[in-house]
Amino acid sequence: MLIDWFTVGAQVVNFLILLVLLKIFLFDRIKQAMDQRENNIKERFDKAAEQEAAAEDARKNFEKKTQSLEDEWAARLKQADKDAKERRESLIKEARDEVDGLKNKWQNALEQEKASFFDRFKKQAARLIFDTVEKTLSHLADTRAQDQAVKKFLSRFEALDKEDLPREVETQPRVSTGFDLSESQQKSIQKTVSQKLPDLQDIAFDVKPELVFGIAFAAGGKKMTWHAHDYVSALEKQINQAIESKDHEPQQQ
Amino acid sequence: MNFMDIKQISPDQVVFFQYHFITLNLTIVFTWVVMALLVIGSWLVTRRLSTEPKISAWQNILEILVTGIQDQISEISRQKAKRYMPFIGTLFVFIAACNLLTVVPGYESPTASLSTTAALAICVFISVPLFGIAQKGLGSYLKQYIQPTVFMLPFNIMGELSRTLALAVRLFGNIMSGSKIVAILLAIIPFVFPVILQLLGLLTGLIQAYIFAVLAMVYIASATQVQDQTDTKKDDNQ
Repeated sequence: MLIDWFTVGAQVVNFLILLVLLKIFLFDRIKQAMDQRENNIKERFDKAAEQEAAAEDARKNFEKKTQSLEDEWAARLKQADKDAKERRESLIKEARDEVDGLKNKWQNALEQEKASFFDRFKKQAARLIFDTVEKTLSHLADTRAQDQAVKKFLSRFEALDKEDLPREVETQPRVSTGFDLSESQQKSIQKTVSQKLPDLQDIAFDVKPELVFGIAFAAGGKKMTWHAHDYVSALEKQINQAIESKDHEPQQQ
Repeated sequence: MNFMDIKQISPDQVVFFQYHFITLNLTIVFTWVVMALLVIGSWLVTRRLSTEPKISAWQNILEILVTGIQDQISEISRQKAKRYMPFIGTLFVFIAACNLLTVVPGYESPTASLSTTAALAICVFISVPLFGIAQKGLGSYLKQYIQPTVFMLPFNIMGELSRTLALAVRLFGNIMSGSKIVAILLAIIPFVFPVILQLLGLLTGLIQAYIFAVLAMVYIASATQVQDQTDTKKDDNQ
């Protein structure tokens, strides 16, 4: 008989034993090793993915920071440029203001000096002219300039219209001269004025050097002056024009 | 050295020791040899398994073997291979080792014994309802014997028995005939031709191991398939 049932049973037992042994020593171990390796590889992939993600985050962070720095740098540069322009404009303005201030100050000083000069000039020129005229008249015509001035004043006063004369006579009239009047001259003035204005009180005489050889009459709120200021002013005007035209000429190298 | 002569069909007939019904024959001895080779070889290879990407050649071969069996099981059963892996894997590895060792002079394959193939077929015959009941439950498993009608019960039982018998006889017939043909040809034409047939026998032996394992898996899968389809439907509905 081809089948030995004891052998069949023994082979079944042998197979079951082999099944258990191979399960222990082959399939489970191989499967476990494969799973372990798969897990290891998966862990490595996961770790690599995490590192990649971290690197990507770091890269993005770096780019963000770089962009932020670039933006900040650009903003600061722009601000610095703006500040520099503003500062420059401010400094220029300050310099201009300072220059203008100095210029104005200088011009004011110049004007003041000029005014002072012309004032002194007028006085000195008038005085010089008066002295020169006085000497000239004294030496050549045997007469005095102040006498001529008083004379001229009296003739002009006499020639005044009634409307030009002061109407109020209550206040004391005053005659100012740039030189001392002699007693006779005062009397002749008093006489001439009284003839024209009989109700007028006695005249008060005083000396004002700035009039040089001019004569001023003040009464009843009216003031009449005869002096050489107009001539001196004309002379001053001519000198002033001469100076200004000299200033405006281009300077030659 | 030959333990069998040409007239002996099965290695069961070569008895080394007998006490009453207990016999120690060539089939059992070579089965133990194959078992020892497989277990010791497995132990030697798997005692230092590497979990790193770089592995030894032997580990690589075993992994290819295990992965191949696993894929076949998954492909046939459409289920997870883990549950069936030890049984189907042991069937394939044992039968393949028994058949491939025929190149060793003096070796007689245990699968050339009808007792061995019958024992393996009985293991399959028993495992099918066990897996089926474990998967579907007793009632559901037994119910399939009266499908589509109760009149199919004797035919289904006959089908179970006949396919078990077919499993045993197919493997036994192929291996036994192969070894006998080689033995006969060695006597007639002692040069070259028997070597070619021996190589062909190796291929046949490997194919037979594959067929046995695949058919066993098909039978188990058919016993567990209905429940699995139900589970799949449940999974789809969830």
